[in-house]
Amino acid sequence: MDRRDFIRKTGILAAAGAVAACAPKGKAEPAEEVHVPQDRPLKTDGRMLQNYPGIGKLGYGCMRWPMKKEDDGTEHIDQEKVNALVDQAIENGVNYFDTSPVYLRGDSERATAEALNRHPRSKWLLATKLSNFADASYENSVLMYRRSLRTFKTDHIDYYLLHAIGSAEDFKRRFEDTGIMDFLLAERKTGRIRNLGFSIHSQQPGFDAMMELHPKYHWDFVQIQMNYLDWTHAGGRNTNAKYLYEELAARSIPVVIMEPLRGGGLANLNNNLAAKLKAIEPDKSISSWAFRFCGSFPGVMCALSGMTYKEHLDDNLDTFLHFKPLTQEEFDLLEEIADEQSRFPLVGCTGCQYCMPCPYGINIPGIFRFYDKTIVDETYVRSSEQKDFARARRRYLAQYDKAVETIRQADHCISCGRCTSHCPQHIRIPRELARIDAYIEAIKQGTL
Amino acid sequence: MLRKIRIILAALSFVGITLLLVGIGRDWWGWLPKLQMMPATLRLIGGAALGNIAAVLGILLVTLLAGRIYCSVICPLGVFQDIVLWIRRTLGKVFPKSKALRKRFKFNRECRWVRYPVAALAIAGIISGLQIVVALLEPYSAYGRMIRSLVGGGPAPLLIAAGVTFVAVVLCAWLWGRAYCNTICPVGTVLGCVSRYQFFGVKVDEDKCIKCGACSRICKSSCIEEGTLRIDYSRCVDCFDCIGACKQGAIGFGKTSRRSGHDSSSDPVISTGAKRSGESPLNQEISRQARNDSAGTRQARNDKDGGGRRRFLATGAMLIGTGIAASAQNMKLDGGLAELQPKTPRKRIPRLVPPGATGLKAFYDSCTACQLCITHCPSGVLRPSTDLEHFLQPQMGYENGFCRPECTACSEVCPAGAIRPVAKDAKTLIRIGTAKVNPFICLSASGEERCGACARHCPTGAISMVDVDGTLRPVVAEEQCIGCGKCEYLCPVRPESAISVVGLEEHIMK
Repeated sequence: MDRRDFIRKTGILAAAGAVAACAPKGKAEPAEEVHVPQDRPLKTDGRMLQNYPGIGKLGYGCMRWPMKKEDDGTEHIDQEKVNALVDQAIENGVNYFDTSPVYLRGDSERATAEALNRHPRSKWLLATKLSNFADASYENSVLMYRRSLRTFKTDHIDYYLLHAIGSAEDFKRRFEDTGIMDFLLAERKTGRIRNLGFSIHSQQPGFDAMMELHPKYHWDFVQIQMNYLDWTHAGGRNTNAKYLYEELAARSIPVVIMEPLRGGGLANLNNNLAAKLKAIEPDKSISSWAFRFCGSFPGVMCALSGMTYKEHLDDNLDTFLHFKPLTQEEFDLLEEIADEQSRFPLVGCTGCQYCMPCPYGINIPGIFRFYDKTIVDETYVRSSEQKDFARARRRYLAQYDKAVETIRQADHCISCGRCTSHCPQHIRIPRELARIDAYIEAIKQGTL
Repeated sequence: MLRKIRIILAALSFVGITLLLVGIGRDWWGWLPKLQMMPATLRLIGGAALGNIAAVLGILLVTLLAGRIYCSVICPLGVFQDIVLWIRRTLGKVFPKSKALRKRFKFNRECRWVRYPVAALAIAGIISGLQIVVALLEPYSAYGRMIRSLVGGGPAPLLIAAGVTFVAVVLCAWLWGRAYCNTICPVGTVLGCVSRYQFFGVKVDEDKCIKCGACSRICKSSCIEEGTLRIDYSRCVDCFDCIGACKQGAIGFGKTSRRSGHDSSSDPVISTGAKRSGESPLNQEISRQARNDSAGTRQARNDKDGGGRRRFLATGAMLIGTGIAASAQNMKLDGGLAELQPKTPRKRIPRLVPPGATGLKAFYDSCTACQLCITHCPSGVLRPSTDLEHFLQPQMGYENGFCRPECTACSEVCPAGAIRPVAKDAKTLIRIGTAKVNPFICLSASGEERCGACARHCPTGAISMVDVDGTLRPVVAEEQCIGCGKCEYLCPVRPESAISVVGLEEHIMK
């Protein structure tokens, strides 16, 4: 997309969005819930960027809360830190909180609710999901929905998502055939669900099918994976974010962005690529570019970030409180970087943990994170012929053992394949694990 | 000067061996244990290499020339006792009023009737293959056990054996100097037999000597007789402490004077000792205590060997992924790690011993149970046995790792020739065991899961999945299986793998 194209498109979309927002929605909705998108995002100065009034453009993803290890080896969410993070976020105009009943071994909703309920209900917007993967029956789904309401001690959910649509068939099986869709539409009518949408990780036909259902269901928003890598380099069995965004913007459906950093992958670029960004903004973090990318689109209602540490929150707040939209040159540069980044043979795991727990105890995201990191950092072992092979080998293997317990490493995968269907990135997990195991075995034996 | 050189050399050798036993520096000072007398001798018996013939002959030659320098410089347990004594002496300076700390040594008669029987027992142990005797008496292995149990832990019998050795050696050194080396240690006795005739050594200049007895009081070997100025070279360990202690400068190092006739009765010290038997009740008391102590030590070890048969199962259930109380309804929660039961060690008959051992008997006849291979095994497959027959000698198990094809660490460090050097390329050609399948718990054979992990990972392709009654069952081609244990280690069935390896009595080259 060249510069003129970029401006023209975003301009048209903004206009289209404005028109659509004025059109009657045909349902009872409190006046303040009607969100009118602004024109292209402007610079902000110390104020949270809002594209849709009332919604901070930086949203909090509650999938990666900080964990605390107890003395007995168990891990729990560190509630104290969560509270502090939530306080700081709300204070600075972050008000969209996105969680799910299945996140963090089912503990995310509880921890998030505990932190949020220390603030008035008007200060936060709740987004949670119908994550009926294991049992999609009507009863189970209704139970899950009511449970969320109860957990948050509230009478309404601001944004309710059909969680991770994988394909048209998946949607039909989990939501239409069970009759739960009718139930949710009814709940929307009563106002207990203010906005109904879905999150999607599918190939293009699945997404298209969902768009064809828009006149029938009237999606209030859609959550997609979007970042400057996935924009045109989604790769594998994933759909380019450019296509998704443009389709949604054409229907003026507000877009919520997930994985703006691609599981942290865009915070940790290869040194050569990082240097290009640092040359322009030496004082800004690498990840700030990914958020500026997301923030620059007018159709984006909210970009979710799973900020585990205060540093993440500080950095993102800095980006969104003093927002500078990308210039065309910067946009082109990110495209160029995405092009180069996509050439690394990365697994592309975002660490969402949907595949976990593996019944055989493999630490799947841990292995992928280690492997991808060594490739991006270029600390991987190239060949047994390389000059300092013995040292590189020793270091690599020690790091591997440190990152992943030996009995949870790739060699222990038996290829049962249960994980594959859970992966929103459509990674062929057993195959990737076998590839990594073969690589590490070659390092160990010195036959690389 | 001589003393300083002795201390510096001893420190270097002691630090080197200790680091090696801790697991550091195989490439730099991995040769140090090869100078140890007992392992080197055992290596001779099992078929010698040139280097270790040279080591044994060199030690004997040096001993004949200048006495038991070995005991003060190369033997880690000897240096360890010197350190204990040094600590005692230093404390004595800090608390000058404490009589126990200021205690001096005193000439003692040689306890031949303890020394020789113990040495004979050890030699009988070597010949008869009763390695437990050797392992318990031998100084280098005793030190190896102490270090291993300090840094690596191990089964209770190892810890107890090491603890008893530690207490006995420290106590012995604290009270009676080098009494262990001169009464119990079989290596000390054998070297003592040679050093009795040493050509050069510490000697007293009778013209300068004023018979003050300072040398006798500082001698930790209790081998300088006050009145006659005679030195029992069979017990002198060349520490050279006496040289500095003599204010008259009467003690020096030089050619030892020798009376005519070399039979033992002509040995000055012994003859005087024999003449004056009963003269020194205190000395007798001390030697009796030493005897009792050593007997008691052995008794204690034997007792606990019996108790050591108990299995010490690794407990410690992994609680990493305990689900949070949210499962009132049916949902698949994200994240967490499945609990994994640890694999339980199993009895392997015949036992598994590493490539390079050539066979069970050859291995257990040569091994001194010094634990060096156990420390250096990167995969953690070697561990000490706890049964009486092979007490503390290593065996293998594949619960937490397997014998990796590219690793030859144990064969590189073994000083006793129990594990012979193995070429990296040849390692996968040595059959040390065979894998056996238990189809009743195998996931694939029982139709529970499409697994085949063992067949996929077998480095020699010995395992294939065969259709038996409609389910795929792993089968092992015995001639191809080398017993590396990768299949057992990677088998997902817990706590007992569905495929496991037992050893071969004699290892076979493919």
